[in-house]
Amino acid sequence: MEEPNQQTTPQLRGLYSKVKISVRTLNIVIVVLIALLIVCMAYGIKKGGFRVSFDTQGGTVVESQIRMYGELLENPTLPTREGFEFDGWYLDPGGTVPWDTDTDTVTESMTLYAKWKEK
Amino acid sequence: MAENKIKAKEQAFKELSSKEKTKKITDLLLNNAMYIIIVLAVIYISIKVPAFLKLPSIVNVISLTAAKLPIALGIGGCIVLTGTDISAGRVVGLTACISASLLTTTYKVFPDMTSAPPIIVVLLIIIVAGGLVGLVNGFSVAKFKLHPFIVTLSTQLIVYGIILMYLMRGTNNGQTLSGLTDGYRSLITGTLFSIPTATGSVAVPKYVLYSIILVILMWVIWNKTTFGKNMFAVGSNEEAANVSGVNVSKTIIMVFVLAGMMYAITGFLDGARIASANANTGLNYECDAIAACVIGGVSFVGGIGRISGIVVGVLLLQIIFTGLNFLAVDANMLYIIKGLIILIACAIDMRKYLVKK
Amino acid sequence: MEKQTVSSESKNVLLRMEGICKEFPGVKALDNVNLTVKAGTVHALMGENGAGKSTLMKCLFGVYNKNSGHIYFEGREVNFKTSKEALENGVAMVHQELNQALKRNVMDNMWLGRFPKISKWCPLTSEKKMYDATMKVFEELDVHVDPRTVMSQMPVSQRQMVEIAKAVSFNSKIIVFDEPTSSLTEEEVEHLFRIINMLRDRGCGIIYISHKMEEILRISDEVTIMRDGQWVATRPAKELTMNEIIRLMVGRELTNRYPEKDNKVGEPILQVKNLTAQYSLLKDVSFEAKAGEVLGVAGLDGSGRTELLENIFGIATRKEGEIYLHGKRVMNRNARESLANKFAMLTEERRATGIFGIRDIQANTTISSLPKYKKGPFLSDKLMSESTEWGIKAMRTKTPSQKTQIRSLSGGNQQKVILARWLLTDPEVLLLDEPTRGIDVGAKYEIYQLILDLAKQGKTIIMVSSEMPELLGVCDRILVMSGGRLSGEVGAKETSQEEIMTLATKYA
Repeated sequence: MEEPNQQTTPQLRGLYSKVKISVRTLNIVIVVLIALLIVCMAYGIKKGGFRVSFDTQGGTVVESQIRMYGELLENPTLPTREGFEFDGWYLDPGGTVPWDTDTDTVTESMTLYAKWKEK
Repeated sequence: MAENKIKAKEQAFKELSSKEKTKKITDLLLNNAMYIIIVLAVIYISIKVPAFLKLPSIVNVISLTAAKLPIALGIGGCIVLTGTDISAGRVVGLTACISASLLTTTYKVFPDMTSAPPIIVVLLIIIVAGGLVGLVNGFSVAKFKLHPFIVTLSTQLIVYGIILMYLMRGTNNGQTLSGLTDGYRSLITGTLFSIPTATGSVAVPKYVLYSIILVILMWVIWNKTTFGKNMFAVGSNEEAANVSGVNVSKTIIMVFVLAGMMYAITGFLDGARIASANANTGLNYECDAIAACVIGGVSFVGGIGRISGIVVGVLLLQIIFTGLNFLAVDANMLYIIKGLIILIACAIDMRKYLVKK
Repeated sequence: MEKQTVSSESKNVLLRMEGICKEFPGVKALDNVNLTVKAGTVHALMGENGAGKSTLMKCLFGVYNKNSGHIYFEGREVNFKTSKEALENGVAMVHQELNQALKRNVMDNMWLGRFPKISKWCPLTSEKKMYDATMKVFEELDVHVDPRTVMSQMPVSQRQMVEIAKAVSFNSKIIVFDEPTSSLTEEEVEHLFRIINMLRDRGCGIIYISHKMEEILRISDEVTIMRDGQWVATRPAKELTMNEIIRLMVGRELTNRYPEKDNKVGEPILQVKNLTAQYSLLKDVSFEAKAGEVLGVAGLDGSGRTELLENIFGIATRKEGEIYLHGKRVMNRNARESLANKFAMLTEERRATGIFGIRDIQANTTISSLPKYKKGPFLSDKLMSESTEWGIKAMRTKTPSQKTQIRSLSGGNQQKVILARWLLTDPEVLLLDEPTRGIDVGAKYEIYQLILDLAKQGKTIIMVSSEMPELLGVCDRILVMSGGRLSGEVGAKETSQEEIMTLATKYA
């Protein structure tokens, strides 16, 4: 037997200074965590798709869409609002960054805001 | 030479008993598990989505890596000291907000302002601000011997409060700051050079260059200065460093101040990169940075770490998350995956130093 | 006082340890040690530092696994795995350093891990039962302490009583006392002895470890003396005198070889005046050291040797006292200042305060002299590797390369790297604390040679060591410390181990 507590502890300092775990247990932990990671990734990929929601800011409700990376939006039904005219989709509620449904591709989950023009 | 070495290793490996062989292979597999997973994931993703390996995507990965490098370089120093810094993300947020509020065309935070101050002045202001937060962190860690986790947890909250109050100033009323000056935006996101492709050209932004400069600077600091050597000494054995005549407190404080400055630069880049700043800018950046450092071999054991490791760590992490984004993995799931990656990286890091008795 | 149980009938033997051997890598810590403790006696265990007393006890309590040998307790062979198991079987130890939960009260500490339950079906702990049981034990022992007092509010002596009471409450047959009187006043010592006598009369076997000869001769029935991990003698205390014990303890032959001493002692350059420490027992130490001299510091563990060096070097807080180098006062408030004043210190705990384990040889060698390697604002790799190369050559360090991690080297080579680190700062006064601890014999010789070479270059060396032959072989003069004070100064040529041991126990 080696002399306990003298050979290992002073070298295992820092955040691990109190670690008393055998390599065997650690191996199991690592393998389990990796398995979990792979399961999560697989699930994420299978369920993949970005949710694009539409905030009509007072207009009629538009259903959200699930799109893959780099895809165009399916042309959403245009919302209507009493006394206003629809003036396109925007990335921000203030209506400064426009979204062109014919050319812009989806790269993340997001919400598009409707902009209204008074009739 | 190299071939001979490999052959000698092969020979030595063949001479081992089968039990030792299994052990060696397990060691090799588990200690490099993180890299293996990432390589496999990249292969899978590039088969599924060929666009992943195309030039625009590669440039995108490199730009995002460059944007996240400075913060990781700062946190790396704290980890070398066996500590950590979880105030990093909020400092990035604060400095991004300061930059965006000063280098603006709308003057919402300071309604009395009539023109934006020179960019260099703003840069100095935010570096001082980041350094100050680092000073508070470092001072508490060095002088009161508080655990960095606790110290930075509290400064993180304090900084968050300051950001919120800052955003309430003037006529801004807590809203997202945007409308940045063209000078500021073009300085950061302007085109460094363009790579022509079949369908047009891909621009590499200027902040990639700044990141490379910071990497070189940090490499010099870590490897070529007394301060760097002292930092590693304090990280590997604080007591021995003290006996050897190293000014331990000063070293710790300087590491945190330097880290704070790095966060400030990250905030400066991020403000222009995202073209806006709000209270949530920089949120959770420290998680990515810590994960990248641990993956890159900056160990929580203390006193171990290389700049090249940090660069590789940030790059690998960026590759895998860009890849998962290409597969349209839900952002909520990405958080879980990120958490697991940090856990695995730490477990592997621990394993490396448990084995080497 | 009639001691009715000193007869050697085997049925009275409580504990018998036979042929205990224990090896650590490279060191034989225990070599065939025997110890027999009879019921109703106090058995003193004596020996110098490192003689193996505590290792033997650690083998008994299962802290270490013995390599060979047998332990019989009440006739049965036992092999305790933990000190808890030993305690449950009636073998208890009162430690020199008390391991107690200081923020909890007396009762909690006594019944820790075995709190009495209110009843079989109610798993809540019963304060009342605990209080009553504690009071019962205290009355037996004539201890007047409220079981509800919080430990940290009590003096050390009372906390020790609690520890003894705990041992008694386990109905222990064997109780080991490890230096129990080191922090007690005379009155408290008397009380302790009353309790020990009472325990003995009840038929317990007491193992009493101490350096204090008068106590030993007063309280013990039998004395076992150990030396260098070996059993030397077991004698009835009545037949022993103090001189006899000292002779047995140090009667080691000078087997280690020492290099020839050819250093020339010059003028006094270092004066230390009335050095008193703020937080340790070091008190009023004054001495002089000369250029080219190897000055030894002898003393038992805890006599303030290490504290003396730490105070000179400024890594412990000084209360008062002055240090003069070349007649000029130096402050040495911290290691950096001492370094600038050309002092250097090799610490006792090499792993804890000496090496940077995961760093390479170069980093370990150059850390104290980094400003030397500056070229402009940056460090020059070339200069650093040149200096490291010099260090490796000059110290004859055996290492594959400069880039080897220091923790993969042997103890002796690690020590040489640290010595090189200090020599690169070009010191005038070298403070060495146990420079040869944990180093094998061959490497020791090399370290001695290095020390004498340094003395020949006119450096002043102050060297603390627990090994007296080493001091006698290497030093010119030897200061003897006892109880934090300087108890004597002897010339290494004229003195003997016996004289040093007598001085070392003067104020103990």
